[in-house]
Amino acid sequence: MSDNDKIIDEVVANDYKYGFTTPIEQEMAPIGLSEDTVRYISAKKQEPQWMLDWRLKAYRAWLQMEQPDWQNVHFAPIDFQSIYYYAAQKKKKEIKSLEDVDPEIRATYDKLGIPIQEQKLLAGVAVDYVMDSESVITTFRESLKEKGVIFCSISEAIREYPELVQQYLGTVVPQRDNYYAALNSAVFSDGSFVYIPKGVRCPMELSTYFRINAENTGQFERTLIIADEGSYVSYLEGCTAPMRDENQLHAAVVELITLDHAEIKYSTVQNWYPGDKEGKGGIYNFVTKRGLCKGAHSKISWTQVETGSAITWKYPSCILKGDYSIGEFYSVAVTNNYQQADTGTKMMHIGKNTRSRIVSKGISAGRSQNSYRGQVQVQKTADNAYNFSQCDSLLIGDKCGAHTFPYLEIKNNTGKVEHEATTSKIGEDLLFYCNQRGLTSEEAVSMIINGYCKEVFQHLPMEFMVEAQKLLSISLEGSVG
Amino acid sequence: MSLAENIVKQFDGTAATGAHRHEALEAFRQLGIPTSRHEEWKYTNIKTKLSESLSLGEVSSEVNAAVKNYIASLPPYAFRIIFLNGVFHPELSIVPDMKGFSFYNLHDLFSAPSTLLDKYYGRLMNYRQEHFAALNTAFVRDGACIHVAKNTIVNDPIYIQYFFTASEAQAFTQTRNLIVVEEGGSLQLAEDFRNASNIPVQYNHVSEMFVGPNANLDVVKLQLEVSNAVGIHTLEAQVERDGAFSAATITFSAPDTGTGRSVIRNNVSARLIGENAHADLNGLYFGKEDAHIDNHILVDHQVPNGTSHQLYKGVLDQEATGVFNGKIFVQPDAQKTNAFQSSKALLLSNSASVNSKPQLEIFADDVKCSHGVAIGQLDEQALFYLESRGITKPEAVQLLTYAFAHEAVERIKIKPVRQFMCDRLKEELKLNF
Repeated sequence: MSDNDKIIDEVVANDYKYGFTTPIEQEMAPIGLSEDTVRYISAKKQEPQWMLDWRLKAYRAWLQMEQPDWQNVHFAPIDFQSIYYYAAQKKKKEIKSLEDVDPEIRATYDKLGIPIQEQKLLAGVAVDYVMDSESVITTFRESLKEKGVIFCSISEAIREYPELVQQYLGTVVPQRDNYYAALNSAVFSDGSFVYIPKGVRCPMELSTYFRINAENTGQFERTLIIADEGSYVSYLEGCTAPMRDENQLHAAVVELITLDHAEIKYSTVQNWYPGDKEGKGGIYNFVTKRGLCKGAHSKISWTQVETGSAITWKYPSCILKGDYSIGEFYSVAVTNNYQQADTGTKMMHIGKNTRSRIVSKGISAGRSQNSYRGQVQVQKTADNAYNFSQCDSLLIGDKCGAHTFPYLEIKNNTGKVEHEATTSKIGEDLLFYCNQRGLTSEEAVSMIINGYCKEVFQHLPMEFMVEAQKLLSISLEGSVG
Repeated sequence: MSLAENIVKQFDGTAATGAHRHEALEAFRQLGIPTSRHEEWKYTNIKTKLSESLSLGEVSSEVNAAVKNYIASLPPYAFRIIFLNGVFHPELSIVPDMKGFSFYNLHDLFSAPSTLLDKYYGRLMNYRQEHFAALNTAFVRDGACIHVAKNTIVNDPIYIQYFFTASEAQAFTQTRNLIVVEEGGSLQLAEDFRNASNIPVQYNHVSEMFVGPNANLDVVKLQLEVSNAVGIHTLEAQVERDGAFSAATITFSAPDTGTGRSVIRNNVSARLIGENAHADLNGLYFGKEDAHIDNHILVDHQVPNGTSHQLYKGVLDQEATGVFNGKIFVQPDAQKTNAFQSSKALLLSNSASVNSKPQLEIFADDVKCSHGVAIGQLDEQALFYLESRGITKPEAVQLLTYAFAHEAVERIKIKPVRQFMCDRLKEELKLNF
């Protein structure tokens, strides 16, 4: 045991590798939130009147809402007036090639270990970089254009494709959906917009790297992905953020819409700054992610690997409206030190013969608290709905906690809903077996954890899978005993 | 005037002797009646089910013909303690007379100083936070108090029967049990609730049960004709080192008289405060028409080496609604805990619904905890198999439903009750074999 403890200590002692800030001159909105801030952002983005009205409607709704307190997390109240709601790079010039990108920014990405060139060439990934709030560059635009795929920043989409945005924005996550969604709707600064036309299989995986950079900047991205009839897209989102002492708020909204026979696969690897070993600092990650399977036979699949953030509060959900539609949720959530995570999913079965599957793996170490909160709802109209949920928790150390809060609401007797949950630690017998076969305790632990998460990792795109395994070993490696 | 204010106003100074009443009333004044915004009452909007002008005053407890018939028709129980509208009736009761076993009715205990009450009464029930426990503590008049002395084994089960013969539709009867089994003692107990009138009744029952070291307590809660009732049950048990506690909650809805107010809520909690303690919480609920049956279970593992097992089975037909909320807490020190929970519900009609929330909250790492929930309908293949062997579909459904429900009946620890429930289940499903 003492060996294991040592290894644990070593691994737990691992510092956040990605803590650095990029000194770029920034232009900021005045601190705090008011109707003027909303107008300022909208004006900066050169948005049309309808968009400003939409934002103001959200802002007014937000004013009347109360901060939710039902989550199983604890944090000091957020002062919404001490946050900068908009930060953009001052010098703005046309960017046509990678060479035009600010060298500082490129250096940042190099530090993160994601060389643009290499990704562009080897992985074939079109990357829409978001440095703070402003989209920096979009590569592979041209080749996507050929297929008719639209992949751009949301502010560009508002200007260039107003009909599409107006038709779909806020249909899955309405402005007054919840407190943070309302806040996001009012002040979102940027994000991605994807439209896949009828029958098109997106030729490459789309990816966005978000970074929170400027101090005291809350980042509020808005992502909208529309897959038209018979289309397919795989979208990757990955995040790392610099080291900070002050808590930063991150309230994103992601909306997915699939029409008949369309499929969206949305993968996330989240590794924001979790705070130091005393639980100081770190990102507050309050995200609303929801997908609407609008058409028959459509499918939305969420895969997430959550290792970062001081507090994570997110429930990527699927509304299974179309008949025969499918929703999937695969998640690995890792918490260490003083991290708190309250995450899970919602599956709303509305259409007939809809199916959903939930696989959630929680790992808690240190003094962290990890909660799974999920809801499966089978509505009266959802004949022959089927759901299977599995949520497993692994506890490492005796100071952490693992919790499950599944809600199952079944209003149709032809449905079938199964839910299983287990909580345990890494079995001594498993460790002993591995030791006996010549593996060190650390190798054994890493092997067992990877095996434990495999069910989720295998749903990640190849390059993400590698990154996820790396992240997992950084945040946990050996912290198990 | 709100429902809660109306209740508080009825607080009667003369009946207000006895422990904790004033604190409880104050707590209730703060808490009020929960609404569906309250997480624990999310799926059961109790406020809309209670009469608007509840009366907590004394109701006549005369023995009517229905009660007499009932008692005559009852199986020849060895020992029974009978309450009518919450008032003890010694002339109908048969109380065991054995060394180490003592029975008191709470009404008598309240009127004089009692070391038993001082030591145990109100100690488990968290009336400062539980709405209905507070209400009960403030207003309760009578109930059963059983004390089993050290190393006393009570061989025959005791039946505590609560009959409601409400002559007044607004009555909200408060009843209460206090059960103490001292070290090495053993007791089997059935709490039976019956509506012996043809009008709806409303009651709020609280039980506190103390299981001493190495002691054993088996409880069965029978709620067999609940369609005509709004019943709120709260059971809190505390188990010490090497003690074992089991509770089986059986709820059957009977033909409704169309009140639309048939609700049963069961809160059953077991707190394991000594090492190597065991809790076994099981239940079966059979809902029909517009019955609403809500089971909230909690097992709190506070110390190491505890074990707990929960099995709940529900059959919901017609418009019935079922609610299941099962919590397992494992406190930071409770290493080597082994906790298991399983909840299954069968929906026989498309208007029936079930809301399930199994919940694990675990703060210790060296534990084995799991829960499983399944909600659905009968296995098509099994049905087909029976049909292919010449059994009609309705019969096949009855047989399979019997098999499904029987698993929970099997776990009843009190033998005569288990046998009785087996027969009752067959009767319910119109099976004769």
